[in-house]
Amino acid sequence: MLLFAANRVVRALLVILFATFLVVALLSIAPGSLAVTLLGDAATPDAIADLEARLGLDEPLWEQYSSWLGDAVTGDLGTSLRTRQDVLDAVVERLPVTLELALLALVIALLVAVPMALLAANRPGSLVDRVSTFLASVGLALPAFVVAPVLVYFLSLKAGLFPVAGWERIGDGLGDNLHHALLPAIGVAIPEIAAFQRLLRTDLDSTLHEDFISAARARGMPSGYVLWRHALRPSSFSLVTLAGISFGRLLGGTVIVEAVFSLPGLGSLIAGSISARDVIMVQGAVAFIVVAYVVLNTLVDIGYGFLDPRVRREAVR
Amino acid sequence: MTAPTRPLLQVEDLRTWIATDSGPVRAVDGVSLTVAAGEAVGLVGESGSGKSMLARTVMGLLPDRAGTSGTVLLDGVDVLTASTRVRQSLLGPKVAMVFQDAGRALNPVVRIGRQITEGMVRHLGISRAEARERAVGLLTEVGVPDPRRRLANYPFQLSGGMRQRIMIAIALACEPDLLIADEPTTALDVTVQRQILDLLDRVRTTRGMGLVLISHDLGLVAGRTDRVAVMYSGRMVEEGPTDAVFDSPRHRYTEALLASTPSLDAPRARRMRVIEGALPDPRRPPAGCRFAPRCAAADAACEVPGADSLRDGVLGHRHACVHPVPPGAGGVAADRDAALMPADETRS
Amino acid sequence: MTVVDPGVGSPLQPADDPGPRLPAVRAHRSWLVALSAGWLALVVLAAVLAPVLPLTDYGQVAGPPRGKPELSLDGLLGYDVLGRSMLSRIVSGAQASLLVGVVSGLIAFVVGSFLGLLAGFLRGVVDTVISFVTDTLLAFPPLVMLLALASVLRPSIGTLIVSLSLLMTPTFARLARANTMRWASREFVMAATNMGAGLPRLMGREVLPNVLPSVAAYLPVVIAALIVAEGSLSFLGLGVPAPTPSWGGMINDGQDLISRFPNLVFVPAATILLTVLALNIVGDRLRVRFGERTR
Repeated sequence: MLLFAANRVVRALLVILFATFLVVALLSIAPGSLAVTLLGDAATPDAIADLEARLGLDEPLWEQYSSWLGDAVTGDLGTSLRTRQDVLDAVVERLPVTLELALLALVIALLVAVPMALLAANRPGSLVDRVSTFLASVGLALPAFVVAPVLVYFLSLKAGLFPVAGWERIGDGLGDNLHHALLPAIGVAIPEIAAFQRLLRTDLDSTLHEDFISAARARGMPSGYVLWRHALRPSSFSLVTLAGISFGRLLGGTVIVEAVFSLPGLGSLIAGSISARDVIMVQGAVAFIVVAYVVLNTLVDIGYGFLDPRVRREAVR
Repeated sequence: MTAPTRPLLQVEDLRTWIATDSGPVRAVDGVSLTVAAGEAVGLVGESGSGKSMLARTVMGLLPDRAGTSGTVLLDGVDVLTASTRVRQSLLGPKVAMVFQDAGRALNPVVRIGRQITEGMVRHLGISRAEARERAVGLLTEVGVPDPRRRLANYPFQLSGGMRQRIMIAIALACEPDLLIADEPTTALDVTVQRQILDLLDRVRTTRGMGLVLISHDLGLVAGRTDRVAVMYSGRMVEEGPTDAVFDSPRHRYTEALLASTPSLDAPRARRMRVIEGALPDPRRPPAGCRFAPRCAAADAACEVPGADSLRDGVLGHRHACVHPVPPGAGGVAADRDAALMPADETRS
Repeated sequence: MTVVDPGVGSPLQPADDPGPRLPAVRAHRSWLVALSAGWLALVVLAAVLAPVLPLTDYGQVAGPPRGKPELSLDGLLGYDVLGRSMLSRIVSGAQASLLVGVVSGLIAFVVGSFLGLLAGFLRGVVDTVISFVTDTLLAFPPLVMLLALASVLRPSIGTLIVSLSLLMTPTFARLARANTMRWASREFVMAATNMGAGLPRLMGREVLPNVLPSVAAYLPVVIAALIVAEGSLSFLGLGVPAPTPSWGGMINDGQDLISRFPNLVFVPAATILLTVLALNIVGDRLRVRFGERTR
C-alpha cells in the first residue's frame, strides 16, 4: 500500500511537470507570433520585440520552462500583463467562490443522485426505474450553458426565488451567501447528478446480484433495508471516486455559470483574461487548476483504499 | 418415520421457469417434495438440475424474470402467493438457508455482528444488546473461538471454515424449523468439509430441525439424511429412504450417478464411470424422460410425454423410470450396465 | 412397471405446455431509440440541405426584430434581436455544430485508436510514452484545456476542430489500448503470432477488426460531448466566430433579453438538449450492441 501510494505520488509529480511544461510551451507553439496576436497587426517591431523579451519568448523553450518552474515553486506565477496584479494573489482571491460552487454542486448532486439511483435499483425495469434513468439521460444533455439561463428565467425572473446574478461572501452572512450560490450550484450540479445516478445505478445493479444480498433477503430483511444497509456501501466505491474526480474537474468547470451569474470566481478570471488577452494570467490560473486537479485525483486514488475494508487489509500487509 | 399431520415443507407440482430472450428456461418443472418436522432430506443432482432453484423458490430468492406455478406450503402458508410481509416474517423463524460459499454470502463490508443480529432484532423483537448476547452464544455453539471479538470482525478477516460456521450461526439465529443447506461444503477444503457436515448434523439433532441438504455429491448425503430425492433437468427422477435409494437405485440416472461417484469403500480395480453427453437444453427439454438421450436402456416408450411421472414403490421409494433397474441389481456394486461408459481405468 | 404404448403420444407436448405465467422479457425502449434516430436524421438533413432550403439567409433580416413565431417557414421559430430568422440560424448552427463535432470526433477516433492500438500491442517503451502523454492530457479538466488553447489561438472553425480533437484523442487512446490488450491475449492472436504472422498483418487482420467496433461504439457519445464543448466555447464567445451562427452563441445572444423574449434562449437550448439526448440514447444502444462488455 505504501509502495502503491509512493508510486502514485511519483506518477502525479511527473504528470504535473509535463502538464505545466505544456502550459508554458503553449505560448511558444501557438501558430504565428503571440506578440503580434496580442498587440494587433499595427504593432511596431520594437513593441513586439519588447513584449517577446518580457514574456521570455526569445529564449529557448527549455529555459523558458525552467525559469517558470523555478518561480512557480516559490509561489511566483508571474504578474498580469494588464492589471499588474500578482497571478497567484488573483487566483487565491477568486478561489473561494469556485471552491464553494464546486462543493455545493457536489453535495446537491449526491443528495439527489443517491436516492434516485436507490429508487431505480430497488425495482429494476419498473416505471420508477425507467423514469429515473430517463431523467438521468436528460440531465446529461443539459450542460450548464443550456440549463443555467433556463433556471434563471424560471426560478429568478418568474418565481423570484433567487437573485439573477451576483455574489455575497460567506463572511457577510451564510444565508445571503447561499441565496446567491444555490442557483449557480444547481446549474453546475445537473449534469453531475445524471452521471452519478447512472454510475451508482449500474453498480447497485451488479451488487444486487451478489450472494450476500440473497443471504440478507433470506434472513427476511425488507428490500429497503437490504438496499440501504447492505447494497449501498459496497456499490459506492466508484461513485466516491467519480465524485472526487468531478470535484477537481468542477474547479475548472464552473466557468459557464460564473459567466451567466457574473460571479467573481476562477472561471470568470480565466474567461475575462482570455478576452483581455492576458496570457500570463491564463497560464498561471490554468497551471494552478491542473496541479490542483492532479493532486486531488491522486488523493482520491490513494484514499480509495481506506473506504473498502478489503483494500484496507492490503494496506496492513 | 412418524408422519405428522402437517408437513413442515410441502412442495406440490412446483414449476419455476425463467424468461430469457430465447424462450423460458424450465429450471424446475413440476416437482413435488415433502419434508416433515425434524426430518433430514437430501436433494441431489448435477449443477443445472434445478435443485438450487428449488431452494431459492422456497426462500423467495428468484430473479425478477422468474415465474412460478404450483404450491410451496411452509408450515401451511403458501409462500408463492403470500404477501411480501408475511413471506419475510417466515424467513428466519420458520426457514433459513446456508449458502454455498460463505465468502460470497457474507457481506464483505458489514461486520459479522450486524449480520448475525439484524435478523433477530427484526423477527424476535429483542434489543440489539440482547441480540449480541445471543450471537455470542450462537457462535460458541457452532464452534467459533473467541466469539465476542469475532462480532467486530469483517468476513475477510476469517478463514473459509470459520466463515461457513458463521453462516450457519446466522441461519440458526431465529431458531428456524427448517434449514436449507445449499452445497454447504463445496467451497471448503476437504478437511474442513467433514467438520461442517458434523456441525450441521449436531445442531439439527439438538434442535430437532428439519434439514434439506442439497448436494451434487451422493456420497455426502448418504450417511446424514433420512430420505433422498434425485433431480435431473428440472424433474424429480427418484425419491425414497436414503438406504433404499443407495442400495437399490431404480432410476437409470441415479444408478449412473452412483457409479460415477468415487468411493473410498469401492475396490481399487473398480472402474470409474462418467455419464456420456450433457444435460438437455432447459428451454427445449425432450418429451418424456429427460435422461433418455443419454440412457442406453432408453427406447421409444421413454420418449412418450408423461413417461417420467413418479411410480410408487415399497416404503415410499418412488422412481420415474420406464425401464427401471431391477430391484437389488443396481447400487454401488453394480458394474455391468450398458448405460455407463468406462472412463479412467483406476481412480480412487 | 408401467408399460406405455410407444405409438401413443400425449397431446401435451412440452412445447405446447404454457407453463407458469412469466414476466415479459424486458422490452427494449426501441421507440425512444427510433425517435432519437429520427431527430438526428432531421438535424443532419437540415444541415446538409441548408443551401437549398427556401430559408432567408441567416444574416438577412427576414421579419420584425424579436418577432414571435408565426406560420411561415422563416418565422416558424420566431425572429432574433435583429429580425433574422431563428429557424435559419438554428439550421446554420446545426451545420457548425455537426461539422465541428463529427470531424473532431472522427479525427480523435482515428488518431486515438491508432495510438491505443500501438500502445496496447507493442507494450514496452511505446506503451509507456503513449500512456504518459495520454495521462498528462487527461490531467487537464476538459473545459480548462479548451480555454487554455483558446487563449493563444484565433477562434475559427479550424482551430476549434484542432482543440476538440486534441481533447478527445486521449479518451479513444485509452479505450483502444484496453481493448487491444484484451484481444492481443486471446488464443487466435497468439496462434497467429506463433505461425509467424507479421506485426502489421496481425494488427490489421486480427486485432483491428475486433477492437474498432467496440471503440467506435463510443463515437455518438463522444460527438455529443463535443457538441456540448463547442456550445460552451461559443457561449463564452470563444468558439465559432460571429457572424456564423452557433447554438451556444445564440443562447449567449438571447440571454440578456430572456425575461421578455425567452424563446430567443429556449429555441437553441431545446435544440441542443434534443440533439445531445438523441446522440446519447443512440450511443447507449450502440454500446450495448457492439461495445465490449467490461462487467
